[in-house]
Amino acid sequence: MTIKNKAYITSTALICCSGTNEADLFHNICTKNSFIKTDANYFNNTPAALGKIDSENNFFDDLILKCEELLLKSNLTNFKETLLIVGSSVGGIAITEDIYFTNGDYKKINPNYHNINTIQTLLEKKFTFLDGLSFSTACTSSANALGYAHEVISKGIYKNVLVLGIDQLSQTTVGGFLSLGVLSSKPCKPFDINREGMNVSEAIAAILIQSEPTKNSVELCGVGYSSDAYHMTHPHPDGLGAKSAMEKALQQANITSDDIDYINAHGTGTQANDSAEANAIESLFGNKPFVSSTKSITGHTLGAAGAVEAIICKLIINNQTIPTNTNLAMQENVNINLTMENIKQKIDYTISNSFAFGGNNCSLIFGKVK
Amino acid sequence: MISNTELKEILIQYLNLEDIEANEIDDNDPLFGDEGLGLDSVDSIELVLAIEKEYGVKITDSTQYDTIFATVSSLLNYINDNKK
Amino acid sequence: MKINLEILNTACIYDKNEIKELEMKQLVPKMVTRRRLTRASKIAIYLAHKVDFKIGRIMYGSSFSEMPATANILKRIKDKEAISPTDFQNSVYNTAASYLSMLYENKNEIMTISSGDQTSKQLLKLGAIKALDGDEILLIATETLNIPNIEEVNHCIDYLECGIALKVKVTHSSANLDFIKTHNSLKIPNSLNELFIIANQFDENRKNIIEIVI
Repeated sequence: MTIKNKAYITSTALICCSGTNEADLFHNICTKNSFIKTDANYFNNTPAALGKIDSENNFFDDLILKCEELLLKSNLTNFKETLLIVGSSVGGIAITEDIYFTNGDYKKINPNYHNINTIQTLLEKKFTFLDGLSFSTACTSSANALGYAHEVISKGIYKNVLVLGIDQLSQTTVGGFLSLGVLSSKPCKPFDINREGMNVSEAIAAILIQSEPTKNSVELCGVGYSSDAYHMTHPHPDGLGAKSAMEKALQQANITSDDIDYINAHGTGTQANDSAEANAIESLFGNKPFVSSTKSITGHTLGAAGAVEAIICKLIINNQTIPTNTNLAMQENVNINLTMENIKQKIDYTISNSFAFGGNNCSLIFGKVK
Repeated sequence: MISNTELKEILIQYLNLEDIEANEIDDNDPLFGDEGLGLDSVDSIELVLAIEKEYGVKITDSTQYDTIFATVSSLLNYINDNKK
Repeated sequence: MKINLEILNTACIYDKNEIKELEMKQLVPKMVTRRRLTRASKIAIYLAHKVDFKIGRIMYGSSFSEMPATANILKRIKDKEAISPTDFQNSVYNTAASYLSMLYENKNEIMTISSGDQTSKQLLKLGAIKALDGDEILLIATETLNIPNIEEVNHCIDYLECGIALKVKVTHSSANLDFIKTHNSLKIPNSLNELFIIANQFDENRKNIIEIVI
């Protein structure tokens, strides 16, 4: 791809279980303060550790509020010259669940508030965008949305892109991951030898990407995509697809693995993901950059994960601080550099991984603006 | 006591196996892996659900899956041993 | 901005209830793989075969994607029964694209979008922007809405199973297809409109070029 323009993350807004804004979230990550809680009543009397947002607002009201917050922080007065890219794995499913479980039939379901496009529909009630589309690739949804934002800005097609990573807790996702046997009843322990699974969580993460840098912006330097072509729910055990995505991101960013200071892992806390990902990291990063998974604090926000973790990478670069792992007692793979404390050091480049059902992989590289 | 044919019909039904009759599944062929029928870990979970639903037998320890689900015979024996 | 796409091949298939012949035994000989495919996955595999596409970048779109799997999950939750893990893994919007990737060990970039009634339109824009890189890209869209009681919520779509594929490449040649000719009165899902319009104009005896306005 010929790059005409660079792409910068200039403004963000976020809400998740462990932070109603970015600063609070980063503080909680660095102080190991997780708000993931075990809930035995959410799904079928089976205990599951979940990351529910603590807000007095309805989830979709928070969506609008966060976009308004972002707009205020940004150099835009409206989104009329902005492309909207939503990344969500379940869209409006929780709305459908409410109606269907109450009534037992589909009659009162509005198709416009069921599928992925629900998010754009709700946003367009309040904001006008230049155009909009939604990516839905399970847990890489908003990572892919960010990747596309990078592409359309790099190719000089758009100057402003609003990426919205969003997924709401639902019976479908909690029950679904429970059915696969990958949900933990306790807060997750990514990369730990005794890890028991993931925590489903919800989040709204709004990111403005523009062709010009602003104060505190970070550059989205490179994106790498790959497909495992292996299994719907298991990654290739050697992490081949993950490695390929990271390699391609490095290529596009025009840097080498030695230039990466920190890896924000997908690190869900499941047996399969963490071992495959650790293998991929071990095989690619001979320099052993620091690695952590922030999902022990945010939980796995599914389609929103890519965007949530992009915001975390921006905070890492802005603060020049690598965040610690939480709940990690004994690492399974001793050949990767999982940090047990916060580290203040010079950080130029971070890489953030997202891997999804269907073997869909996306790695994003963020860099300090030179 | 359930018969091996009955169990094979359950496998076919719950695992959506196509173009295969009960009498084409050998009692002692491996169920999992490419050498046998080719089932995978998602199938083992589906089987656990099917066996609980059909026979009231719960298999709660996933480390036992390999042994219990090795072949139709091993699964049959497990169910018949544990059925009330 | 305008990008011209050459449509190298198209395939289209639809039925009011269930598309009958998808050639699955020939296209997916391994039974344990075939038995797990969703309707959308089978349609996608069939269409990809018809346009002769195995390895390369795929852009997949669907407004409602895996309705049958989702309907099963919701019903089981309502009836307080265990969710089938097969249904759950098959309920993600990128299911069909993923099975297509696995079948041919296609490790390239594979995207899935879902933009309601605008899905085809957005898929064409996405495909056009991606096609600027110079490769041949597969655009596929499907809808599989044939679930029990769909009539409780469907009042306008006659063809409950529908799929269209276009194999495309960027070109500087002038357009000879357009979106003005509306498709005939078949009530297919709106999400497939623009792809359907293009597929209907495709003529294998000439070059077929459409202008995409970004």
